[in-house]
Amino acid sequence: MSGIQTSPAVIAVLDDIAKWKAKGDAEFGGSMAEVDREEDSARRAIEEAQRQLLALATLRAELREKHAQVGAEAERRERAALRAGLSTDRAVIEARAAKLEAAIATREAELQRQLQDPEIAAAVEEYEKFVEVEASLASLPASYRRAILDHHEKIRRRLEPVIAASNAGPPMLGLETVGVGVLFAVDPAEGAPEALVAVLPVPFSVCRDWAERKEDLASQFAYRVVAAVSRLLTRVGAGGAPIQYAELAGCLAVQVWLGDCDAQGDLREGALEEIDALREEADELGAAGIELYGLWVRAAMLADEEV
Amino acid sequence: MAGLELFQRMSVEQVAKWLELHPFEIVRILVADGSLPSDLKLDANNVERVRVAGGLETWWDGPPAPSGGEAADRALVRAMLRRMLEKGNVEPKVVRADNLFRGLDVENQRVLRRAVNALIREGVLASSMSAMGLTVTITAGREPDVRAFAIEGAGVVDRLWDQD
Repeated sequence: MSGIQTSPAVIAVLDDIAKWKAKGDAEFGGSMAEVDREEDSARRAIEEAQRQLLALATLRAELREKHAQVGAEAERRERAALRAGLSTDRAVIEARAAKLEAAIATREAELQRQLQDPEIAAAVEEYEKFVEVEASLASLPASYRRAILDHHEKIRRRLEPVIAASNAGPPMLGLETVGVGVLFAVDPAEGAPEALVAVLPVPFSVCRDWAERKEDLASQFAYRVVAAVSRLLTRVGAGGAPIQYAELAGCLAVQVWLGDCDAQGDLREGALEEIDALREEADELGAAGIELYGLWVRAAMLADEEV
Repeated sequence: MAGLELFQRMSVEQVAKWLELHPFEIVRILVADGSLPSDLKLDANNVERVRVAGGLETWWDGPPAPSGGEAADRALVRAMLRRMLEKGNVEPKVVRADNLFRGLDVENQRVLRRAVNALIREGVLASSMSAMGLTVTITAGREPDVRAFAIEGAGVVDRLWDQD
């Protein structure tokens, strides 16, 4: 039996098919290689992007850490600035206190000199005698008492210039006006206040050692602020709130516990208004060329010794 | 010859020493009373206002003389408690803490301070802070104990004294 004979035409067709397939295979190989290259390129791009993302995340963390350090540094600088401000203002008050003291002493020495005048000295002696017996006047007959009172009134009128000068306001120093600040803070900053603190640029000794140190401008400054805080407490319905005095960075701190009071009203606004009123009232500060202002700070700035 | 002080009104510090009060308390009392002079110089009327508005009293012109061999410290504490009873300083009526000591010398003030602190620790007395400063009162319900010790020198408080 003979095999099937394939005609040349078929052979040619099959050959063409083979060639067509080979061409398709070659094209496929080329395309796949192209896709592989594109894929590699894309993968490298992704890897690069991932590296960039990682680097950005690291940078972000570094920036956050740096920013946190800036915050802490700003707080440290703020505390240092407050401490320096208190110290500077305290030095101003102490220096002006000494000058005011000297001016008052000079004025009083002059008044004492006037008291040596024989005519005035005689009147002073009579005035002093009256003061000694004043309490017992009620026991005297009315006519006798009236005569003594009339005579005393004559003496008092003669001494009126001396009496007025003795009680005159503080002498003006004529110095350049310098601003000094009282720091206020309330805690918590929002909601019902539990504590109020005012830090004054005067030494704590005006409170602790008051009996040993002579009353001076720093003492009077403290009295003024204690009065202002007391008025403020009355304004907000917390007149009975207990006050304590403490030392903060060597200065006097007036601390008020408001936790047991139902304080109503704006403490911040009220405190600044009281300081304004105090500025008008305190002649001794005006005479010493000191202008008082109030500054509200965050309670954390005054929370411990690290003001 | 008299000096200028004959004519001058008093400073807050001078009044504080006179009344045995802290100057800041004087300021606070006068502010509450609405009578703090704007120049911080005080006259006799201001001083009287401090006394009245601040509830200041002077209980002593010296320590009581002990009798019957009683220790001086014990006699002093009993006399103080008697005065608190006489003035009705039983909760809720309070007395300024410094009234308990005003008029005594430093040593006797120290004795009373220690005793008052001990009685507060034991709950016989109670203290509180207010606008007028530290106040003290006989704790509600402890009046009989205080009376027994103050009047008769006996009772629970007397035993506390013995322990001390």
